[in-house]
Amino acid sequence: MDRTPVDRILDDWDAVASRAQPPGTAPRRAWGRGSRGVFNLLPLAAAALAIAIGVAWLGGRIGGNVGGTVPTASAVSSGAPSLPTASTTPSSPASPTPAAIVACDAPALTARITAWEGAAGSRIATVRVTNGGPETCMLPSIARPALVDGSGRGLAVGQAPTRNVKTIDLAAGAGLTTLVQVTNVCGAAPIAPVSLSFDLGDGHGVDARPLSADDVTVPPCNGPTLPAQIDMQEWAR
Amino acid sequence: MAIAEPADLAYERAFADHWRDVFRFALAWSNDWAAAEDLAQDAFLKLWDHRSRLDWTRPVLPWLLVATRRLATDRFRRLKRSVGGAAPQAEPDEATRVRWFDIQAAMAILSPLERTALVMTALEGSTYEAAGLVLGTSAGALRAAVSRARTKLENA
Repeated sequence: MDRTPVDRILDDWDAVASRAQPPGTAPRRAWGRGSRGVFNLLPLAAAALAIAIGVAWLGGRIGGNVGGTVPTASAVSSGAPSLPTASTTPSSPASPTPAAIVACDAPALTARITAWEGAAGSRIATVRVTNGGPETCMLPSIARPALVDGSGRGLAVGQAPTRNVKTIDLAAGAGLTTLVQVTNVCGAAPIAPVSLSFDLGDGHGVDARPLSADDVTVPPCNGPTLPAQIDMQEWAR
Repeated sequence: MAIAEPADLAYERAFADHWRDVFRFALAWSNDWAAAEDLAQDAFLKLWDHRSRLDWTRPVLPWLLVATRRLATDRFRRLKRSVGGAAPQAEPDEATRVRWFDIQAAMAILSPLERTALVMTALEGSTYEAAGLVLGTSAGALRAAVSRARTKLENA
C-alpha cells in the first residue's frame, strides 16, 4: 500500500528519533556534585547567609511572615504533577473563591517598577501590578520572577512557587505591590532597560515597565560560580 | 556496602524504561533536538526529587510526560538556559543531524500540540483519551488537532 506524504514524514521522524541515546547514567541531584568538597561550599553558604539577611530585611519592611512568603529554593517544590489524573490539571488555590471571579487575564494586567533600592549585596525592586480589566480577577499571591535585560536575556530567573499558592482578588483598576530581591548577577553588562517579568503559570505572564528606558540596575556580582538569586514577596495591597 | 533505597531502584528502572519515551515526547513538543534532551534530563530530575513521594505501583510514564509538558511550557525556560547554560549533551551523528533538520523543517508548520498529538497517536499508539490526559486537553480537541496537523502536512 502506498504511504502518504504524512506517513513518510512520520516514518522519518520515528527513525531519527529512535537514534537518540540516553545519557549513560540517570540524572540525580546530589550534594557534592563532581569533585566539589566542603570548602567549595563555603561561598554558597556565604551567599545563602547574605540572602537570608536580605530576606529578613524584606520581611521587616513588609511586616509579614518572611519564611512563609518568600519562595526560597527549599520552600518551593518543582511543580511536577501528582498521580494519576490530578497530574493533568493545575493545582487549585488553597482558599476557595467565588465562582464568578476568574483568574486574571495576563493582557489585562500592567506592572511597573516604581523603585530600586540597594541592600547588602542585593538590589530590591518595588513593583506595582494593576488590573486594567473591567472585572475583579484572581491573582496568584506569588509568581515566578525573572530579571530580564533589554535584549531579552535572563539575568536571574526565580523558582516556580509550587506549593499551593493563595490567590488575591484584584478589583478592576486596583493594584498590588511587591518587593523583589535580586542577588549576584554576573556576566556581560546588561542592555538597557533592565526590568522584571512575572510568570503566572501555564505560559502566561506579565512584564513590568522598567524604572526608566535607560535603567541598567543589577546587583553586584558576589561570585561568578554561584547562580543569580531572585525572590519576591507576596503581592500585598 | 550501602543498600539502595527502593525508590532509588524504581527511579533507575524508570530511567532505563522510559528515557526514550520522554525524549520522543519532548522532541515532538519542542521540535528541537537539544531542547528535547534538556527537557528529558529535567523531567527525570523532577522524578528524582519526587521519588520518595510517588506511588511506584502505578505507571510512572504519564507522570513523566505531564512533567515534561509543564517544563516545556515554562515561560522562563529559555531565560533559565541563558543564565545557567544547558547541560552538555551527546550530539547526534552527522547523518542523523542532517536528516533531522529536514524533518524538523517539515514539522515546524505544526503547533506543539498538533505535533505531539500526531506523534502520540500515530507513532506511539496512544489513544486520544490517554494522550488528552497527558496533554491537558480533551480527546475531541486532540482529534481536531491531529486532523489539522495531517491537513497542514499534506498541503505543505
